[in-house]
Amino acid sequence: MALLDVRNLVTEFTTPAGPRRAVNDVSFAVQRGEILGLVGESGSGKSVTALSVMGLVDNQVGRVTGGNILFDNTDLTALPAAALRALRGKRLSMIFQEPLSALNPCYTIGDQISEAFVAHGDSDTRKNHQRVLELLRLVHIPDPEGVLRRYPHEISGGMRQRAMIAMALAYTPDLLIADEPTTALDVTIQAQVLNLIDRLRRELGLGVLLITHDIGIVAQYTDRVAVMYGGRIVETGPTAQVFATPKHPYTIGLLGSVPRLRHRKPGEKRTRLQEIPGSVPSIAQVTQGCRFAGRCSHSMPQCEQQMPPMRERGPGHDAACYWEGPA
Amino acid sequence: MSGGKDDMLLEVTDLSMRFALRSAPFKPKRHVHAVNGINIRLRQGETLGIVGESGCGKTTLARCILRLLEPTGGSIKLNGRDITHAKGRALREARRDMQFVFQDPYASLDPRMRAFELVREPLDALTDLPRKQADERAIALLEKVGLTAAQARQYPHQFSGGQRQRIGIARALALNPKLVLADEPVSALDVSVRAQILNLMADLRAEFGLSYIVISHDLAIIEHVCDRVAIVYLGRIVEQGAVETIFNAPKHPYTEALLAAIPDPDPQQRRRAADIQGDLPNPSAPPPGCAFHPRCPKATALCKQQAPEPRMLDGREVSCHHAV
Ligand SMILES: Nc1ncnc2c1ncn2[C@@H]1O[C@H](COP(=O)(O)OP(=O)(O)OP(=O)(O)O)[C@@H](O)[C@H]1O
Ligand SMILES: Nc1ncnc2c1ncn2[C@@H]1O[C@H](COP(=O)(O)OP(=O)(O)OP(=O)(O)O)[C@@H](O)[C@H]1O
Ligand SMILES: [Mg+2]
Ligand SMILES: [Mg+2]
Repeated sequence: MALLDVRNLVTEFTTPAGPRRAVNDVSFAVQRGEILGLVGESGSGKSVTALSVMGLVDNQVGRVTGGNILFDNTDLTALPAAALRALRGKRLSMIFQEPLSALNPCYTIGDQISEAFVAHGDSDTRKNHQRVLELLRLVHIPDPEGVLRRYPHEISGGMRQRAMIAMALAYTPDLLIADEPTTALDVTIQAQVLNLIDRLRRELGLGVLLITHDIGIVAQYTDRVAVMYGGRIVETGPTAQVFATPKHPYTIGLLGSVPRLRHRKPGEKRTRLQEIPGSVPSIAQVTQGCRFAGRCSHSMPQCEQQMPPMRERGPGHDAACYWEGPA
Repeated sequence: MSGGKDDMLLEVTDLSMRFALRSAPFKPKRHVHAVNGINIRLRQGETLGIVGESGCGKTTLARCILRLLEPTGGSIKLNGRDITHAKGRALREARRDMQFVFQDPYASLDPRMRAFELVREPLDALTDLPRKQADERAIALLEKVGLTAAQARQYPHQFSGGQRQRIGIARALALNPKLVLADEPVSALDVSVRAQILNLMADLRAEFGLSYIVISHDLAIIEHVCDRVAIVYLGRIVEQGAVETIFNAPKHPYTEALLAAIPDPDPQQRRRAADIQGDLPNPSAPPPGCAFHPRCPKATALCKQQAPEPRMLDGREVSCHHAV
């Protein structure tokens, strides 16, 4: 039984043109002790998928309108708000993409992390103080005593990001959703943080949904990967397989545009990075067919007419594309 | 392009920035020396990468150069003019020539303004372009960074993180600056959009002779866009020189550690970076001697006592007692 089983999730936003789907019929599962990577074009719906699972889509502008989110066999979409709050931050936690907008500018870092405990009824101030210090050390924040007393704008971007990670680990969750958790960290600290998440996965059976643009992180840390485009998952499978034989033209383009350290020789000309031409369609544009068709070099007439269904292309490796691949 | 002192765009000399920290009552006041004696020279059309530990002072350095902060020591010259303590009109003029792309795109965009209004804002503030032309220019810039005219009418919260970053870039380009300081400009973008933006930055550089200072943790990106690179650790530059020189043969142990920790994009090569030993330094109580010594595999007694001075070695500047 999967720890998290998302089935046919649909999340809609109200736009001037009416309700539009940011997440469209998305299904995936995360097992205990597994890291699932979620990658894809910016604007493809990764964060909205994560927020939907957490029940944190701003209900002023959007909501989950379809599908089921089974967390340890409980359907979160049917759960009363109070029950969901009790899970959130305790068994289910999330590291947000933009630490500065997720942290409250008016409270010190220490107060905000303690708040995670207070919200779950642990209000022993002295004990909480100790736990907060431990958490800050766990994520390698230098001078934790000093950082406790500072406000978010008084610490660097990378320290804010680590403070967020500390908050998400306040209770050891069963499921951790990490949305771009290490973008503000240098690669040596990034390795420490990811190794920490990986250790929790191994030792405590944490399930992790890791959203990242860093293809190197996906390659090194995830077991399986799901690729999103235009609100849908277009390809999914074991990481090694998907990287070795990507089937969807978007995945092929994505893997092809990774900048690699090439150790340029002195005086050698810089090469242009490979791009995928065009840009991701806005959610306001409704199409019947594949949302990538307009940018795809392999598109066929049927691509414009009907969204290609997910099709098995190898063991556990599915792609939503009519194209059979290079001959 | 080469030679003459007159094409020197930016000269940063011995720059320092100290923040006072609130401390517990009756304890001595503490400081964070976020930037500590930094020297940078940038010529017209040149691109400098800044890499370093999180919290080492990169954003603070950029904010000082842009004069969003007033440095506590050293000097900054832009086009030969000293702007270290510039105020009023002189400061406004300097700011026209320099633009910033922020690290945290959401927090830096006014949520009540539409995308094209955000891009138009600097035009309104610093030029007297008529409204209609300013609107057109704003929309053209948004299209240049890959957003549609329809998206130009949306508010920041209606965009994804990466889309917001593109608004920030369009906004920075609005005034045709000479120097763009970009703080992690593409870390919020997926690699294909990242490639578009980096290629765009290269085109703009060729077209307008723009200079960039690019702050990034991604060394492959630095290699792709920069001529020179400065590696910063705890407020000081530990190694500086041509990108090829440094990436092909790093001399400072911190540079070596960075290059070794890049995650390999090939899952067949599972090779996790070993955790660097030792704790991160506390910036308000830096270790004596070389700031990197508690984490350095080559550290000796000398490193614990004496901070290394920068010296030239194999075509780059490096601050390490043991670099050979
Ligand atoms: N509050 C909102 N109102 C309207 N549209 C929204 C809202 N929030 C997000 N969207 C739209 O939903 C789509 C998906 O956004 P999401 O933030 O999930 O992208 P993402 O995949 O996380 O991208 P990134 O990699 O850039 O963070 C985008 O097209 C975005 O413009
Ligand atoms: N307003 C402030 N008051 C006090 N300390 C500050 C302030 N701004 C920054 N600092 C401190 O100065 C140091 C350098 O911060 P800075 O934001 O420049 O780092 P950075 O190199 O940009 O890091 P990152 O890669 O994490 O963004 C940090 O120790 C930070 O806590
Ligand atoms: Mg996102
Ligand atoms: Mg910074």
